[in-house]
Amino acid sequence: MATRPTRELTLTGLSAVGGNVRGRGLTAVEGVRFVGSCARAVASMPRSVRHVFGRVLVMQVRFTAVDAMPIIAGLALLIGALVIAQAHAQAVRFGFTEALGELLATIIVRELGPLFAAIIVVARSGTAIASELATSRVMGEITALEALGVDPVQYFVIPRLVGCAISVALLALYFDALAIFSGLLVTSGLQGLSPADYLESLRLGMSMWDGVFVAIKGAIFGLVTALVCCWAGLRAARTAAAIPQSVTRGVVTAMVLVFTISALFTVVQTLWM
Amino acid sequence: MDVIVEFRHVPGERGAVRWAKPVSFQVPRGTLHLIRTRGAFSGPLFRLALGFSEPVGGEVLVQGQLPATLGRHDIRRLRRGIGSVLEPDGLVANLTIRMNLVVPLVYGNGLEFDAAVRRANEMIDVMHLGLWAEERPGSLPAEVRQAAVLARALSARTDVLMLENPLASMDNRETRRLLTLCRTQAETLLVATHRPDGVLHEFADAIWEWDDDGFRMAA
Repeated sequence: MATRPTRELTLTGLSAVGGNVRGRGLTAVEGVRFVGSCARAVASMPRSVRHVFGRVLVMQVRFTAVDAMPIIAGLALLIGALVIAQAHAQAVRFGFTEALGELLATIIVRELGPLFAAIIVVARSGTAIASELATSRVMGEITALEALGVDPVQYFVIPRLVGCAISVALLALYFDALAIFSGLLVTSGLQGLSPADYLESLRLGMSMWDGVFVAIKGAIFGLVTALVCCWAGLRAARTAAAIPQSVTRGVVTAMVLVFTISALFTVVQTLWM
Repeated sequence: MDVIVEFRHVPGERGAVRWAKPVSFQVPRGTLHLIRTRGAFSGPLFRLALGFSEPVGGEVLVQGQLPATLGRHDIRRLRRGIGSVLEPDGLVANLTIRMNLVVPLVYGNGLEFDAAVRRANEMIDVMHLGLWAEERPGSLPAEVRQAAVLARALSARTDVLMLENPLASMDNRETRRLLTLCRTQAETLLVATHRPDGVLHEFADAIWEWDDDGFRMAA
């Protein structure tokens, strides 16, 4: 029979676990509601907003995609060179050089391209979105617009969702193109694999559908990143301390979701193929 | 008598504040009611009137509706019929003053962009904000920000205005000019002021005093 302190400790522990599970459940319900309010906001968007919407969207794409191009380029060139040099060394050692193209298409094009583009966007734009919206909440901007009958989701959230989805899709394709180009440069210095062989093996390992797949995957990553970071910013409490908290919450959640969705994509794709 | 805003024995705001004595007052159509108070009281009062929170007890009625009970769509429609100024002013920091006026007109009132810009420009002229129209609010002095917030509230051309401490940084001459403008444009006004002087009193049909001793008609 458990002694009294042991029983009390057990009950306190169970209560803490229960409280935690309940809290997470409520947060998940709130998240689903937020997704619902985004869908409603899109459905009820007045036609008159298209000009202002377009301006916010262009600014978002410029910040998320165009301004991130140098860092994505650097990363893609390095990763492309590294992966191809390493993969080539192993391919020669184990004798599967003919499968190198497919290997590279799988690792770089389908997996790393969208993933790295999403990581960079979470780190740059996710933090910016969460902190901007949390600051707007703290400074009373969102309340003031709501008081004038504006749906803050329509003005603040929807352009960011669309902008991030477009941006990550484009950045993933950009990353892939530069990583392949970097591989081409590396192969010119490798023995046993000419640039022509490299391009041929890639051609055999890839199809046009890979581009479509990468764009769709990137768009979903961008959508999820913006959704989570907007949500984190909008639900910030009205204190200055809430701003960094909501940034951390948004970025960590977005990162976990991006990796989880990436894993799900891989599972689905493996089963499908 | 058509009552636009009515508080019936409201003891406070749920989850936030409970006042020493319940608040009751009516703002009939076509009048300007002035509440002399401080931010700790006026903030909850305006939040209740605009449906951002619900009363602990009693009733808050705005244009015959209970804002706290309205759904998402209805509360937005009610708010679109009221020009409001709240504290903090809530000017969007990354928009210019002109766009701060345009965005609510486009998203809230459904005006086409060009029509909203025309309306905003008219209001910018009336409020003497031309010099700052392309500036962002963060770099502007307090009185310019207040004029911009008032311009945003007036640009929707509503019959009702709810203004929380709208002219605190203005001199007396400018206060008179802007209040005359507000009275010309809106039929009914509920104004809370934290100003100690009496300039606003000249325009009020009724003056209320609200402090720790309660909410009462001023002498």
